[in-house]
Amino acid sequence: MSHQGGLSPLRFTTAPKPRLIRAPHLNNALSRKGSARASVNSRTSGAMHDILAIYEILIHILSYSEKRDLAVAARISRAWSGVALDCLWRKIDSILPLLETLSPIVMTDEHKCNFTGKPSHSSWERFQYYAPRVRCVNHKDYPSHAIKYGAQSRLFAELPTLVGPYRPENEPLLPNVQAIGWTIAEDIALVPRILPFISPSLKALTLEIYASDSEEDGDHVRQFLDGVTASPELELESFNIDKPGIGAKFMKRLLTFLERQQNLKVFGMRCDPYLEPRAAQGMLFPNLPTGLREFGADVEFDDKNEYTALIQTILQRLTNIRVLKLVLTSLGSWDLSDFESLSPFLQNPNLEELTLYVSTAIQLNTSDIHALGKALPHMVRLNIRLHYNARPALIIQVTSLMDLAKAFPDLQSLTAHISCAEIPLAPRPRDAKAELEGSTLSKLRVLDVGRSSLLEKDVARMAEFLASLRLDPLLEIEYDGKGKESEGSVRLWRDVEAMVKLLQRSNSGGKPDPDRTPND
Amino acid sequence: MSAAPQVTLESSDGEKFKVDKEVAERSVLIKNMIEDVGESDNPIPLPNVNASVLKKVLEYCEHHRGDPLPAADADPSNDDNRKRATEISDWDQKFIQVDQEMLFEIILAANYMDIKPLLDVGCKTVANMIKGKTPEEIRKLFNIVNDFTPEEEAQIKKENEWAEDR
Repeated sequence: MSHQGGLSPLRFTTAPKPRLIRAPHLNNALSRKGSARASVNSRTSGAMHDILAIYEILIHILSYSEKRDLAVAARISRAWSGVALDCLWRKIDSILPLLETLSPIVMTDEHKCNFTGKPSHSSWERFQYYAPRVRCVNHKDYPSHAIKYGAQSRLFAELPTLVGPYRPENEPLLPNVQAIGWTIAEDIALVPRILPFISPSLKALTLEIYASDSEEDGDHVRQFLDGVTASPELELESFNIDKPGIGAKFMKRLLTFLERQQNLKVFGMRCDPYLEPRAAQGMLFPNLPTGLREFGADVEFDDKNEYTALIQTILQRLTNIRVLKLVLTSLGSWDLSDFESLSPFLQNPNLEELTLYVSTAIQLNTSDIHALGKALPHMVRLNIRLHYNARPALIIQVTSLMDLAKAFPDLQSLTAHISCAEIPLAPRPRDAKAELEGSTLSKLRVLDVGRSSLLEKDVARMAEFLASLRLDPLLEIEYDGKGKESEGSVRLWRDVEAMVKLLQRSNSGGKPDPDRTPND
Repeated sequence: MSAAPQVTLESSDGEKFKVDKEVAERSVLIKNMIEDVGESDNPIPLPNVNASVLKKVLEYCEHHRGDPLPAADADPSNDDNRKRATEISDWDQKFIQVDQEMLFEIILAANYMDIKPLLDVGCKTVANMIKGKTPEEIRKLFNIVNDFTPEEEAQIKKENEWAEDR
């Protein structure tokens, strides 16, 4: 048996295969036979099918595969290997497997690890075989990894020496990387050691740092920022930095850095309100790059008027802003009048998404919903969460969903605690569906049904109610609270899952089913 | 009874299919063709799709005629879109239970006719076929020749072992 099919990815293309052209009058007579023959003739039987040699299709298939299956697919043949490795290495959760192609890494004791030797030329080639495939690195502390996170710092210190003999001067180690996320934690000396991975192709950088406000920590972060700022080609679109040990000196560096990034659209900075001086924050807000489309920050003020003034400053300066995420700490309570005072600024046609982290939950009744709708008329996504535990902090009765869809004509996604204490016993009136038609609300991001107060019969009733609403078939309900401990609540969550399925089914059943209408 | 506007499609082997315009326009290729050329009574030729495959593809389009169109900006390289992963709706699952040859022809046609949801269903199905198998089993399944030397294969395995951990 000869297996010649498709070893090279270039051999087949999506170009039309030559086919016989038939005279029109022969069409009917030949159609049956013709179709059968055409598909058999399209390839030599016993060889791989053409489509598995088309890069775009194979990568589409493998994009649904899990990592372990990709690692298997990489061993099938050369053609498959290239595609599978592109998929597998596109987004990596740790940079260590890449570094291990240079030289094996071993733990020497609890807190230290080492490269076991100097890389040979061929191991440098292996490194280069994988490195260009990496588009996204999210280097975090995963407890399952054999090389302990706290022990890695030294590897990154040694790396420049290790690759020195092979790496062309200042050539980035990851030439095609687009996004880097790195959890630095307390090892602030690590921050500048990331610089060799920063490449001009980089578009998004997220650093999680827990710096103190000590001079030493500050130096490391500044050294990093200066290093990145010095890269003339780099134009970040997204930059997020957590707990940078912010101080006035740092803030100047940061502003210089931000100014340099002409394409910056997304900027977020989380601070520790107890550590980081407000004066520095005060420097930042009036000087934000005006091109920002997305901005997130922690803000700490004592009184609500200061918050309001701050949000006003941001919204007036950032005229292109589309997504605003603010953590409003030490805010006692946030009520509707606060939204109303912001209303003139929030009526920015670009603003699509507002996420507020607040300290206490806001309960909305029907008239509140309408008032909120007036304050935020263009909102597409609205998320109000509780600070610290990220639970939804907007409480809405399930029976008010209809009002909500009316009050926010553009709303597509909402993070809210949908309370279901008042589910009506009787099914909704018939016009319920008509009322919701034309509504864009298609995604309830978090359906948090507060497990403690729910009985199983409530779940069933809620399912019935939601099904009677016949929301858009795309309605997608996400909910947290999976994997609860007690057996009773586990069962309850299973019921919620069943409910979601029921809802989805009833939605797809709600429209005419063309399968049943005979077509002639 | 006012008839819905219809178009005629012609398969590679010359068979003609008269379908509602709405159904045919699940294919972005056809939608664009109709927009470019304007409505006409001439059949739209699909030189890459034979009649048996086209019939199957149209069955899919008919069933999904009312579905909202997929977002144009859905980025396939976006991981969230992907990990929506291997779940396929009941109807689609039944629909795609065909022999391997037909499955591949459907994927090819969906790719050519630009029917993204159908392409997704086909590709997910192939991904499910691969799942949990060994390299040798996959080679057998799809008639793929192993052109690696044992050393090369071993090296690839070693370098990618990290992916098998979780």
